Amino acid sequence: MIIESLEISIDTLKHRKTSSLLTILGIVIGISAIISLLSIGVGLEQSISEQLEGMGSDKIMVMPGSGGGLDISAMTAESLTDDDVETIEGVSGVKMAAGLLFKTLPVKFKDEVVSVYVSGGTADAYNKMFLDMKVFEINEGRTIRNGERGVAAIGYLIVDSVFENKVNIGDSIYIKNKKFKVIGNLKSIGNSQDDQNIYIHLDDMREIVGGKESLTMIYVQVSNTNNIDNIAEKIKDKLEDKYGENTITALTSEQMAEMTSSIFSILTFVVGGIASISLVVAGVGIANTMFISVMERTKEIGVMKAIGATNYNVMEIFLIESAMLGFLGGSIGCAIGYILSIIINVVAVGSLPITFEATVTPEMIILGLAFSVVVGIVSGIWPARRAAKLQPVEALRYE
Amino acid sequence: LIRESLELSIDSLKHRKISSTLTILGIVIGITAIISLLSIGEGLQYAVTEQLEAVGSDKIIVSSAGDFFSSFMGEGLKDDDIDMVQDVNGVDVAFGILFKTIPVRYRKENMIGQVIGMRIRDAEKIFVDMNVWEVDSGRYFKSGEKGVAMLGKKAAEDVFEREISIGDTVYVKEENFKVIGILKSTANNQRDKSIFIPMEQLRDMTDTKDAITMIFAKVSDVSKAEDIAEEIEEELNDQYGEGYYQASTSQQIAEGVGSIIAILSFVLGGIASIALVVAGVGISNTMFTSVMERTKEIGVMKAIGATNYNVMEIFLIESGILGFFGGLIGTILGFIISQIITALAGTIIPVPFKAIVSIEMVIFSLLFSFFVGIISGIWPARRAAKLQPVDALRR
Repeated sequence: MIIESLEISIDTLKHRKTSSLLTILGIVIGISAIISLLSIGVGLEQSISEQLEGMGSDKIMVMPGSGGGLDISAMTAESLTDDDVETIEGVSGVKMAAGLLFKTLPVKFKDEVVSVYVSGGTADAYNKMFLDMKVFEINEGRTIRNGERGVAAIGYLIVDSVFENKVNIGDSIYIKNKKFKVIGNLKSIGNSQDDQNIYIHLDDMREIVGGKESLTMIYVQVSNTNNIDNIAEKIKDKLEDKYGENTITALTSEQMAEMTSSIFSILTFVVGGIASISLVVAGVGIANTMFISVMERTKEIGVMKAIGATNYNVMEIFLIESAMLGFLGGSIGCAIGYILSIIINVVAVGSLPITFEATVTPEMIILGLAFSVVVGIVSGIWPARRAAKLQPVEALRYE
Repeated sequence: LIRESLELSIDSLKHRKISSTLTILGIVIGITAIISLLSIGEGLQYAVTEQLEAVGSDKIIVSSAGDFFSSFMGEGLKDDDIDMVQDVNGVDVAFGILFKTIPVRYRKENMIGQVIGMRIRDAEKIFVDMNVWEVDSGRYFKSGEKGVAMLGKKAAEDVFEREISIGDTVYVKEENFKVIGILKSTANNQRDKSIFIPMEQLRDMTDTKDAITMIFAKVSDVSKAEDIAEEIEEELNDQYGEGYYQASTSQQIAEGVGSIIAILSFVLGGIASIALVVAGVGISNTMFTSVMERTKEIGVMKAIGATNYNVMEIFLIESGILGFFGGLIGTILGFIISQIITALAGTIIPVPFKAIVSIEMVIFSLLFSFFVGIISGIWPARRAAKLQPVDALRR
């Protein structure tokens, strides 16, 4: 019986070509918008979690503040000290710890001045970060050696994007009028902010900005990832003994990844939600088409009922028809959304400062198809009920 | 004749009630979404402008060049630069602040707080001459004073669990400061949460020699503010080199923030407009059905002398009306939703926020929906107009 209903539905859809096509078009537009927007969101989320994974799962970042490192105060605070690095290294389970001092400083290359993020760390800290912890990897040249001053390693984007001229190894740059020789550059980390960093010795940094022993952030590596959460908790407790409750945030790489991905999920959800409004409108269009279809076929319905079709049979025919409109729209929409995401990757990604790949996941396709079928069926219920409830005698009389 | 066409269109819309209502509903949903989203954007814009008015448009802010963070993190400016700014022609008064994020404590509650260092001798300028910040209760710094603090409104009331009153002691990096004054709310959240202490003490405890984060200047003639800002920037360029520092009027800063909000609401509005495109497709669909149903009618009209243009007009007016009505109802619903957002915002977020529906938005969305109606009607209307009377009558 279902197969029969299906055949009847397909026949009708073919018969009313323009109308069916336009109805489907509505769903197509809605679904392709949703799929392409979601693909951007998922792409951004993936690039960030990949980047955090690149840090390795055995890292803890220690920052001041209770805001989880996402508010301005954590970015600007400088309340940690060299002593704290030692305190952390004394926590059992910690393999190594490295302190960094961040500043935005004007940097001059040839005759151009640009404000960029500058990190100050000890040669030891850089050795740990670049070579052992592999937070960042050297592309060309080398990292800062012990006792070496006036030298800088530069981030991926500093090499050829930040300044008009390419910065080569051996070139001189001026940070607040202090001369630095470029001795190495780094591989891309995939995040424009970190890729725009310049790394200098902590002592040089402190000389430039004044300030004896403050640090912005401490990177920690643990020897065993199994109890990393405990270690993070211990570090937090130790430092809070000194600074007081709620003054320290110690995040494991996993927690960081969760936090950033939850922000992106919310964003994707909001944007996807707004785009879904168009699907509701498309659903209204399906309802409209179905009403007209019921009206046009009043006589046909009368005949069907006269020869023994039940209310249920009639309803089924119309529900299948509307579900099919939704499904066809959804399939084409998914295909177009996929094509759009590829176009986005080709066109947009190159021109944007962030690297990401718009990604269409199988879940998105399933969700898109399911959503459009549901929209189709829901929109069809009211017209289908009306068709089912027609009295055969009256329906046959209808002109 | 237009009037006649109008009547014909309305008749036909009435005749096909369900279909017309559903078609209009599509436009209604689209426009409602657009209006309510734009009203949020407009409300944010308004909040920014209001902040500007609170600061006063006669202020110039000098800071490190770069993005938002740089202006807070840069500390390249020196005390000498305050004097330089002060000496620029047209500057009434100037003062500098040092901005630090360091541990603060009240009773047993610790946190990383925003602390602003202020030169004691600038206090009179700030609170009397420039009137940038106003004292709500208590008093401002007197010369020679040490170990005293003033609190922003929120620093006193909301930042710590217990409210801080005048005479209480707060600790900055474990040095004690007696609270002597509380500031009035400034519409700048960051500032309201800050603790103000003497510059020298903040420099001592953070090892900052003579650096400052920002310089504020007040000009005597608002109309010259932009020129004066430029002059200050040039002076700084001469001294430090091009690109290190920037001087912006409060107007320019507000415009900067405003343009970001504008882009954001433009993007969200754009995504919501997709719904309107879908609604337009719905109008086309309804119009096609309408043309089909009335093929015979069109044949008769043409047979008794209606031109192609007449026929097209009737259908275009019909689709235009569908769009316009949808837009009208959508605008009203959007307005209602914006009121609801305003009411809810008060209970959810701490900052006062009002979603605003501007007249431009209303006109824009009415025109837009009418336009969508017409465009969607063109194809079906052309098809109706091109019907051959003989063929049409035979159907």
